[in-house]
Amino acid sequence: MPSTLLPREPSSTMTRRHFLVGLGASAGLVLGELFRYFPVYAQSFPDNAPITPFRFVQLTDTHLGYTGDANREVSRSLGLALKAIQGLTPSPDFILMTGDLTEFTTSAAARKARLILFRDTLEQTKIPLYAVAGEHDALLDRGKLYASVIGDLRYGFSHKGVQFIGLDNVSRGFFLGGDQLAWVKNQVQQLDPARPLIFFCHAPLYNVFAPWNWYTYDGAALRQLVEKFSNVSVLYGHVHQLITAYTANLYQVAALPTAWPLPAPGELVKLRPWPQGATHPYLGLGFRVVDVNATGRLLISNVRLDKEEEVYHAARLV
Amino acid sequence: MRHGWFKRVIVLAVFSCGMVGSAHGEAVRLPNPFRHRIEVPKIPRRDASVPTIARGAALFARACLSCHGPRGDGEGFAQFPGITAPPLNQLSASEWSATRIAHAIQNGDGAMPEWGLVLSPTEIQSLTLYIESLNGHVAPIPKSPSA
Ligand code: HEC
Repeated sequence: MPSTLLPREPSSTMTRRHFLVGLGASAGLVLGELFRYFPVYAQSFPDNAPITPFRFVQLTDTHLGYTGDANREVSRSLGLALKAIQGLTPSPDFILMTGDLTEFTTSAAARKARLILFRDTLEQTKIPLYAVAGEHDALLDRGKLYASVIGDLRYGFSHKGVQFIGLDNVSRGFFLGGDQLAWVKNQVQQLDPARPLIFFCHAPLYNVFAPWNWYTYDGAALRQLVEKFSNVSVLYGHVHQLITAYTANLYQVAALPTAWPLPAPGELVKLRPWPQGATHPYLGLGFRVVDVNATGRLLISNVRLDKEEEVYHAARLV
Repeated sequence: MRHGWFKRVIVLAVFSCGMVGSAHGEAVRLPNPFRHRIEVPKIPRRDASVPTIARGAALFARACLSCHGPRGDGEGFAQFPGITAPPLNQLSASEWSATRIAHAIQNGDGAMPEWGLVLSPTEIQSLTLYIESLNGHVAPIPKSPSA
């Protein structure tokens, strides 16, 4: 019997689970209003609640505070991106920032100033921000300053029927760690595996190229936790270029940075950016627009900063 | 060229002899030295709970060479501005006991990750043995008793 092909019928009797789930959802709505600018922890939805189509933006690797010839004015490229984001129609519901807000520095005072600069710059856009840290922001002090200026290193929230989980695979090393995996396990147990689930983190959850730290040591363990989920995406940064891969049931995509592009992985050489081109200063830079449709699929468009009007990658449906 | 036909006959003759010989099975007996069966004694495998230099080397290649370099000399492929991962092949035995090395791996410090969160104590022991071997604190290959 092809019962699996039929849509799930809403049950006529209110079960304990449905009651709890409904309660959770209404609490979520109230919380959602209260904490419009703050991340709300993952919550469940009733099985038949629809997904309202919406748009969000992924911004990554802004490296504020960097000085050097890879990008002679990082705040200018961020400004260009934010201007383009503010001009989007329909406008995005929020910006998802996938790490390396700031450039690595050994001075705690400088790191704090850079994090504050990022926060203030983004606040001016009036678009809600959900961010995770990159190793440049958080590795040296295990994310202490990041947590005090920007917010939690890992958290979940849901938006219009889609579940989001922000992960920290940088602040203690390029791994999630047993404690965080246990936390994820607990979070996903409360979620509906039929609903879309979007992870966002800095480093890829699979091995893109470990010699450049472009991996998560225990990423495979996380993949096992979401085996039952049918629609899981991972939005990450770190690699400063567009990379797409399917790893089992996970669709993993890296976005364009606003700081500088990096070479393609594969060669055992030191990882170094190129000097910014005089004729094409914004080549390889950009951000991503994600449109979630009513079935929970993602339409991904990558916008280039050098050719803003042109969508780089033909928009693709996930 | 002139003897081409002759060679061909010889080759054919030798080949058909072989065919006949093998067809008779019992008739063709291999000379003695080839009839010995060599019994290879089973080499006991160390179980995974025992730390080894080999496991340490494999882990190092996966998790440490990015920052410390494939030779452990600090020539890594990914570095941060203002911070370089130190060479691990110049640790003096008097300053860097196995316990101190294991402690450094376990807890990390600044840009050195806190590996204890993701590696088992045995894995950390294996890495410690490997780093000791880079410094000649332990012999990389067990010496045979006669040497
Ligand atoms: C992200 C880069 C990075 C990675 C990956 C890394 N290390 Fe380190 N490691 C460092 C840095 C930086 C230091 C210096 C820490 C300090 O300032 O005290 C260090 C220090 C050490 C030390 C202490 C030596 C000393 O002179 O201070 C040991 C031992 C060590 N690392 C082993 C390892 C092992 C084993 C691995 C792999 C499991 C590893 N490291 C992976 C960056 C790294």
